[in-house]
Amino acid sequence: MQANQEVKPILRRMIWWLIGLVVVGVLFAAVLGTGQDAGMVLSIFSTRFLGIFIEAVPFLLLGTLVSGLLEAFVSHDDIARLTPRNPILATIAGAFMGFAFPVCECGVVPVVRRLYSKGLPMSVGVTFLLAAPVMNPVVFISTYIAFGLGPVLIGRFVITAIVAIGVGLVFALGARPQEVLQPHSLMPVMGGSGDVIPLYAKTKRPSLLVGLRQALDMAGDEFFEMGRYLIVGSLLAAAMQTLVSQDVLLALGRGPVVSVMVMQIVAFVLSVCSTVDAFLALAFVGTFTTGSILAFLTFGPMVDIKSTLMFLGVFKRRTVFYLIVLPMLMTLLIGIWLNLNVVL
Amino acid sequence: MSNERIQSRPLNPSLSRFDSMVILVILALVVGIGLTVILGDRVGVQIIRTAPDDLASSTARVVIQFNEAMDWDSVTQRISFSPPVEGDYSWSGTTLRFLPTTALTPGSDYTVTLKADSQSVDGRKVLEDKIFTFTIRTPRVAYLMPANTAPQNVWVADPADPSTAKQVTFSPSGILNFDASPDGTRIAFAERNTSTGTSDIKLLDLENGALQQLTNCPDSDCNSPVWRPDGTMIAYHRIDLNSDLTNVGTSPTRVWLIDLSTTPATTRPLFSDSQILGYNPEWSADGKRVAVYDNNSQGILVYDFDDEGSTTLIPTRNGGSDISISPDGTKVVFPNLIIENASARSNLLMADLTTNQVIELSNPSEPLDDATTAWSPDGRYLAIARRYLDDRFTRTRQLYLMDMQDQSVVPLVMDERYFNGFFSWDPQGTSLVIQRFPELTEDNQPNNEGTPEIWTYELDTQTLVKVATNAYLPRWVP
Repeated sequence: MQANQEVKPILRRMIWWLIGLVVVGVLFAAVLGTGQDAGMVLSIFSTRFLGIFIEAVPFLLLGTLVSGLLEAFVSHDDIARLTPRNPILATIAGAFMGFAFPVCECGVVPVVRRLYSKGLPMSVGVTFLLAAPVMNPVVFISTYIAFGLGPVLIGRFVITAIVAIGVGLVFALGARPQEVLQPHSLMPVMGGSGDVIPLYAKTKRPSLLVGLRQALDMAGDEFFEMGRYLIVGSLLAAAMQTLVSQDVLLALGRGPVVSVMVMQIVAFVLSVCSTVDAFLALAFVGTFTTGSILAFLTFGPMVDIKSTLMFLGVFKRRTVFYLIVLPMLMTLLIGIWLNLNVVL
Repeated sequence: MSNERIQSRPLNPSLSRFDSMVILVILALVVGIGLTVILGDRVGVQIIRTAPDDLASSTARVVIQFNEAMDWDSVTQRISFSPPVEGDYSWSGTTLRFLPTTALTPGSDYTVTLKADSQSVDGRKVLEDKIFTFTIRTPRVAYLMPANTAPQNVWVADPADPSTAKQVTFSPSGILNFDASPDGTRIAFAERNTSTGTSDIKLLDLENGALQQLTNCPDSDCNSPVWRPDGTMIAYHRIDLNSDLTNVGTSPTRVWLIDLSTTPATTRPLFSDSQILGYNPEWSADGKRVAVYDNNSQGILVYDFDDEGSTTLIPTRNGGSDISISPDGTKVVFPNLIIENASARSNLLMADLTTNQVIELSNPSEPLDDATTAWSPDGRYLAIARRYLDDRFTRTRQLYLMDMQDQSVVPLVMDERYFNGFFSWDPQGTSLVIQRFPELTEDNQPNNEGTPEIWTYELDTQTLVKVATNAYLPRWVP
């Protein structure tokens, strides 16, 4: 009976991998069926994979370093002291934490996981997770350089804040950490939700040198742990980019409704880092609606293929699904509403 | 205690309170999206820019820029002009351009109306009528002044009131030559660089005074800019000095192009073959062809931009100083040298590029001496600098008008005290600006202190107006 229970998840995982392989195989076959050279397709795939991975890896490294420093130098008490008591205020504050921890979508995941282990309220972490890739000084500067001080820059930050806080509030009002987070993210504080009031032994803050050593050790471990998700996510993103032509997606439509959906899909598939995506979006100005460009610039940094995989290291699968669907629908609604009602 | 709490409340494996809440939020968002779509488009296709606004040149293009790609027919079917204007539409991305077939009337107000319901390619509509009005200004005349001392600078005057002439360039080293843009908003000029001794082409915005250097010629003379009639290019002369090469002299003149449609503007030789020389570029009015004189092949080369840069050679013995290409680019008029009784004179030949035939436009046996010519903008007339050598003899060349339908010639400007040099038509084809030199004084004595003058001649009223004294190189500023 127990052996049966142990085999079941392994079997389920194998079935999922099998389905994934079949889907990728079918797509490759479909591409090759159009007469393209297999070697060329593989070369494009590997180039794109390396492009995504190399672009993201420094940010993951930065994120894990921040995570290590948090582990070494930030105590549970610090988090408890700095987090507003009111859960709604705390959730709103989470949207602006990116200015303290300027990380993009790859780096934010380990930071959030570490903050959870330090007792950060779960909804604050969700808001931070979604907002930080945009709401940080680096992205502010890159968007300003690309678009100047105008509706795109302002819209990007306002929409990101609205969506991140909106999703965070849904989690704040309805979710319990143990049904949202992976068990290892819960330990040892259960997400600081208040469901569990653990007793901590007061730990002494380490000296700078010892703390740095601890931080580097921790960062190294976490880098390799989260790196697995990044590699698989980058592989998937590269496969999607290779197998589903961007031109085909763009040709689907440029109307006020369809354009927003198309740009969301493009953002999800391209998995471009939020620090540089503004320059890519610049190429769509004039051919795509402003609402759709804003959807690209807000939804993409929150959720894309590679970050989805990384979310799985922190959140349960169903939660990851919610973390995709809720921002997607919110940015879709805002993008369409802007296109149909506001002159930008 | 906390572990007990977890164990005492096992999570529902199907739908928890949180799941239900998320589903409700998702449903609300879907309903919100549906409602937003059902309520419809309250913005529609946006018109980002219209031009011209306020004052415009008689050769101005009407421009309407949309914020998305449009269904061309749905737009052009809903555009109207008051008073009616004929012309051609062209699209560049999301921008519509309308080029009137004939120049617009100075002093007139034009109203452009784009009716609502024009559609984008995605079916989105323009929700409101767009109406804009502009007034056509009277063409002005630009020239270099003073002619007898340095430095020369560009001045602009209204022929109706020459006393309002205004200096627009203030070069300490002087302007060598210039040309006004077809829309009358800019002037391209060649300015001597005092430190290198070479010259460069620069661009002056007449509306805000902004200056932009278009060429960088540290070891070349870059001068004689000539605008393409669509305003996208400038042809100019480039003479490489080769000062870094020993035993190599100055290169002969070649024609280069400045492409203003790129950012920044780019420059390249007209002919990729460096063996082809050329000078005196003359554009056809449609901008599709440019004619230059090539010393190497001893003839006029007509370069066709539409036909992948193909060239047609028209042999001539008279050099290339007086080439005139018809507005449609199909005919080239040029003087033909006649040497008889140890004296030289010229008659006019016309090459038809469609039939590859050269005909005599003026009879070589007739006692006349033709030189410079200029096609009227509609291609109907040819202004000719001519002097007869029989009983109609004049000491200097006078202006005549040839009707190109029957080649009949009538005198236009007759005053033999004046030598009529360069002249050109205004965009409407109603006036000529002429550079004249008073060779004789009022009492017909040789004029030793004369300087060139700028005049305009209005054909309808046969009125000659002196615009400037001690000035030269006149150009219309539409």
